[in-house]
Amino acid sequence: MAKKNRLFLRLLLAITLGVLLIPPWAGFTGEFHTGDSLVCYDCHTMHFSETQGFSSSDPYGTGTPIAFPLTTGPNPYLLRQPQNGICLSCHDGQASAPDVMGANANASPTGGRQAGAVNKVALGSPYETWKGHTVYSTDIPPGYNPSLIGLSDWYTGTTFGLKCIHCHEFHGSPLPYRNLGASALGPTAASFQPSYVINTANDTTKDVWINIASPYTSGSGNAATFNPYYATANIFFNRIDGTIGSLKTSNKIGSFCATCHANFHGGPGNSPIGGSPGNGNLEGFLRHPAAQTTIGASGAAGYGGHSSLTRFVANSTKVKVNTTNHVTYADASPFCLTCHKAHGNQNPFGLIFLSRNATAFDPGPEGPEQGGWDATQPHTTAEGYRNLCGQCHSQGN
Amino acid sequence: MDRKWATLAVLFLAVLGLFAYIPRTGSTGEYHFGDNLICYDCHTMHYSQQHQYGGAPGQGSPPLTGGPNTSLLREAGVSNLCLGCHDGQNFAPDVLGANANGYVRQAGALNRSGGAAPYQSWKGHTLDVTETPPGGVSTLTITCSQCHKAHGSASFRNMTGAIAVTYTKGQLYASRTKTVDVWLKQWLLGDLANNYAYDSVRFNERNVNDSAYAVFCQGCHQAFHGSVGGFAIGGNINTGGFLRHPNAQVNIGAIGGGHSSIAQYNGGMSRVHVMSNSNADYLADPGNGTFTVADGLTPSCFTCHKAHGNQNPFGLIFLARDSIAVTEEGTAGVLPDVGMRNLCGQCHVQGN
Repeated sequence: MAKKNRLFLRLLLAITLGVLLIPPWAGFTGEFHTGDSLVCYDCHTMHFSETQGFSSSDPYGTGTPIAFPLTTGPNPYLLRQPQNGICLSCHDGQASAPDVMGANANASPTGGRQAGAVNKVALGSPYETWKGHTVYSTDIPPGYNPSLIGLSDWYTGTTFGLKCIHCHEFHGSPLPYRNLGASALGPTAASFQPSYVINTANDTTKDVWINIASPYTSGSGNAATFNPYYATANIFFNRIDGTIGSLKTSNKIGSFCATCHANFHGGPGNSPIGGSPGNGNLEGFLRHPAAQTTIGASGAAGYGGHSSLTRFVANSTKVKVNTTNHVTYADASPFCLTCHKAHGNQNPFGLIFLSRNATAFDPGPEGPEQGGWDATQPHTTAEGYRNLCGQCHSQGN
Repeated sequence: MDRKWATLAVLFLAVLGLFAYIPRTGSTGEYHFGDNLICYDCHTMHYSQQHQYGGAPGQGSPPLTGGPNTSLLREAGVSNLCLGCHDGQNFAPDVLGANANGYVRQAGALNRSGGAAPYQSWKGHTLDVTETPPGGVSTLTITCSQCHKAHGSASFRNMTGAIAVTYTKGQLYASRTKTVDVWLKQWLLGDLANNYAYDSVRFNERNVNDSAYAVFCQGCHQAFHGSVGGFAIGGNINTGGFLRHPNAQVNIGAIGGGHSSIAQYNGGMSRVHVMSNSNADYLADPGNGTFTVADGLTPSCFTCHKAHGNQNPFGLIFLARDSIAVTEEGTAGVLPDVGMRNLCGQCHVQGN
């Protein structure tokens, strides 16, 4: 073989091997409902009729039961059920998919579900509507002010009710964590889509670190497999400072939350938050900062005196923060999920009543998604609230 | 008087001569119509036959079985009679199960009740079952004559229905008559592959607000077709929100946004059939971005389903846009979840 050809073949082999050595790109096929795991007939039916398929539960003969029999319909957009019903057909009370509504029908992942639970009016106690996101609710989101983050008035829930698809892109997207950042946000949706890495080693360039072995294959249909993927204990949030619209951000999760709750977002000096970085005005906050505020740091970095990093680091069990180092927490900043479950829980406003002395998220009757208690505390809202604040603040603790 | 008789004789000969030039098949439709409707193909007067009509011994096809039978049929039951020629024979298109003749059939394959894999009953039209068709209101027994006129018709493939599915044959595609529903490349007696293959037909859009083919299918599947905004399809021509997938009126890419994309369809190397009045051939012009929204390409029943059925659920055509080979199943050997994404992905970008 000519020398030139041998060289070409060697080069080709080297390139091929090099490509094969690239670590699996976390989420190359994304979470479930993305790419290869986006199964059209899970959610859609062309004619609202599957009476003469292989079987009523498995019309396509796949060996896996399809969502649910067609009941209410036909529905716009060829949906098998009305919109929220579609999602909840799988994501409420089923063993094959993460349960996001109310009590978890599956065994709890370690530390509970990272996102907690949404609710609806019909659920009642202990998941009343004031304890988290309420699907079908036509209320305007608290703090809704999209212009602060450069968005137009995009939210349609006041007319159609809060839908899963207001937060989650229903056709999935290979990059964002949990398919967050709906296309309804418009051409800048990517600015609100947090990235993620699945690996036992962190990648601080990603917003979210899911600390489990890679690769993770979605769609197993089994809680034993998907629980670690959704467990509070395995999910961490990196600090990546930036700006979204007129507001500071330390993680795109925060930016995402701001699409509905912009008045609650930002860092020191932003209009919703107040404070005046650089001039030592330590009393200036109008609202709790949600970005670029290092716990315990003095001066413009953190307004020390209000919070204590020493205290936070010493906590037996910690709430989630934005940081580039999940051991020293040297640059830890609170954000939305520091205090709230994204979906909600059994506490007011989905707050996480986690005592710094709790040895773990509480596996007891209240469940880990509500936080955790130390051994002697009365389990009251007031006590729980103090627990949460006491993660970082010594006042009253 | 002599002159008058001479004139008549000349006229008579001229007419005879004219008939001599009329192709045996060209002006009389497909088989089982006009000149190609052969009575003894299907009927026997006395249920007795020792020789064929050409003198060869035996009964020929189809053989006399199960009789004597009503309507003087050679075999018992319409379906058995039809399948006497249309199953497993190399002189007639094979319509049941695997194709004895090897080409990719446009209509795919029927199945029969109790049929074994890979042509189970839930994968297409099942002969001889009595059921209410999906989307239908009346119970009926499926026989060949539900869809095809036994004595032929001017309609494409001798289809039944009050409204004919019109067609031309033998025209060049680019200069074809577009005021008919179907362009058939050719119909020549005995040339099965070129008469009945997947790429031997194209579908025009004679009426931009309807599909004659869908109207035909609606004869049994009433709820699956209708006008946009109507009870069956619902939605809005400008904004979508359809209750069922439209089979007419709605052009690929016309609504935009999260709906279908003409660029997606253009970008496919292997495409499904659509209704098109463009001079460019939608099957023979892969990946060149030829079509625009203005070309008005429109999906209909045959876009997604084989008329008879195939080896996929509901006779669906799981054709991947990058499929090198096209089979009756679309792309061979794909599972339903992948196949469905293939099919939807012919026109829709979501998940593709």
